[in-house]
Amino acid sequence: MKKIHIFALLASIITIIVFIIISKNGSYDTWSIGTLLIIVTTMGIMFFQFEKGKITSKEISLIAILSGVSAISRVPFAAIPSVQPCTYIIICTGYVFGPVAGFMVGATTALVSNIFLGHGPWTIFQMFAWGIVGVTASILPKLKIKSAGVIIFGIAWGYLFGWITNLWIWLAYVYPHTFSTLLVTMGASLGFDTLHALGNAIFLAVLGEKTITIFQRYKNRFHIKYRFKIEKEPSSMSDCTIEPSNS
Amino acid sequence: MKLAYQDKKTPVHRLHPVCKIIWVLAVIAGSILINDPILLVLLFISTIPFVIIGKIVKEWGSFVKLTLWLSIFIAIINMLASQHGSHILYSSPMLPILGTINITLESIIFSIGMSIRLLATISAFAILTLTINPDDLLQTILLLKIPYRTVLTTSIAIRFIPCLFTDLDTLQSSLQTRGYQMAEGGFLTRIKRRAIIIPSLLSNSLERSIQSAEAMESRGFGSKGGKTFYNVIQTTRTDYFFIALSLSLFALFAIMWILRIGTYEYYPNITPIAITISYVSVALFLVLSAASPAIFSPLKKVIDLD
Repeated sequence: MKKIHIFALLASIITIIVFIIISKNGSYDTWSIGTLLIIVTTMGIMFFQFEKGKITSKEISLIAILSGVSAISRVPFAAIPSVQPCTYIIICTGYVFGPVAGFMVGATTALVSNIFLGHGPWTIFQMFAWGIVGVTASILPKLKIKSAGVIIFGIAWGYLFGWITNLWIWLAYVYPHTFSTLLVTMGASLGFDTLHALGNAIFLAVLGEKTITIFQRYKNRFHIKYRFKIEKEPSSMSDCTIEPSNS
Repeated sequence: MKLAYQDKKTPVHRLHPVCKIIWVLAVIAGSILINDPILLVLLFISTIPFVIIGKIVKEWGSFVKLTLWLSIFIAIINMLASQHGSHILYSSPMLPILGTINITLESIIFSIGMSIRLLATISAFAILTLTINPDDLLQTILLLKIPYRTVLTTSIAIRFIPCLFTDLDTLQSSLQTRGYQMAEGGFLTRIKRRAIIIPSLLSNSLERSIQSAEAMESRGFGSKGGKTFYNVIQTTRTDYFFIALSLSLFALFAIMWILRIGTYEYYPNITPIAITISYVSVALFLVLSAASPAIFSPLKKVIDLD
């Protein structure tokens, strides 16, 4: 089990414990503060992984470029409400490049696109939601989930993304924090979430496999490991075996 | 896609980014801690000098317009979902699934209070977006020893946006010259027709990312030693004064939180707000410390020149 998975597991356990404690002794403010703390802690763990992990200039550059593409891909679709190609790009990134790259592209997409579209209380929730889209997408190849499964995954995230980002309204501006008020808040954006889910399904069905192939090719071309034979010092390149990192 | 920030060379734009970041964070913290509608109105009003002196009225207006739409949304949720409050204004007949819906005076007042809270928060975020150069913001974050790689990634992403835009434009134009219509057809057809651009854009961009990585390596990325900047943000003594002004707002909110000033219970009954001497002094200090960085900002240039 990789370090990142242990961190993610721990964060989930802490989340559940905090929610149980809050639901027993909860008041109006503790819900807001508790949820914000959980989001900030989870994001902090992921950023920590990115900061302290073995990451080269290639990864930084790749994440930055994909975040930029993801942010501007919203422009040709601005006329179609709630259809966001960034979600599909983040899913493909997480699928091929793993949880850290997936999270970073997701979080940076929200940060960069909002520099143009305007920041607000929603920014941190968008960063978290898109980041988690990238992290969860990295699990799909391990579960051997392909085309149809990835499309269903995209549809599910169309709704989940909306529900997570709606939390900022529910936490700070709705009283009391009950299941019925939560349900009404989530239900209010059902139409937009459906369009988002539909958009994800179309992008993944039409471009999903193609994009994953492009990313895989890039990964194979530029991420290679040099494995030297220990018994003999390499005198020339013919003594080395070069393997693509995904092999 | 145009950058929301435009350098208008006003006193507010010239204020040190640290001062504006602290001020924005203080206003956001204040709008979360304060419940009292009068103090929330005052907090919102205190953000307006920044807008007027910063000459961002038009751009700020579009943020406020968005807030008004969100306020309607918030009001509907509160009135429909919250059945709290003792003064029932309207009671609906029995509805399927939802049951009886009671609209109370308290829920309406609460919705108004929350809309003002939202206005204050969005106004602060608008000032952050419209008056701080993203590069200065990122450099300030780096100077505060906040994660380097994350900031660098964001900075590279922003730097590449104009290049990616040119790529996108070229791709769209080349398709259109071949007679490819993107705006035709129904909902699904339009998405499919537009989506064709993305793989080409991705392929181009991945090549760019390799060039960028090589450029980073050749400039010593990853080597030990401090990071240097082409343009370093200068901090003058006047800047420290303005930073202190912004910090005073944080101090005020801490005192208010300890003394429980600024909290107001909307449910189950609306009670009149007791206007005492301490309440008036807190309100006065709130307006002064929140608005003072903007009001005194024209003096910065004069003092710095001296």
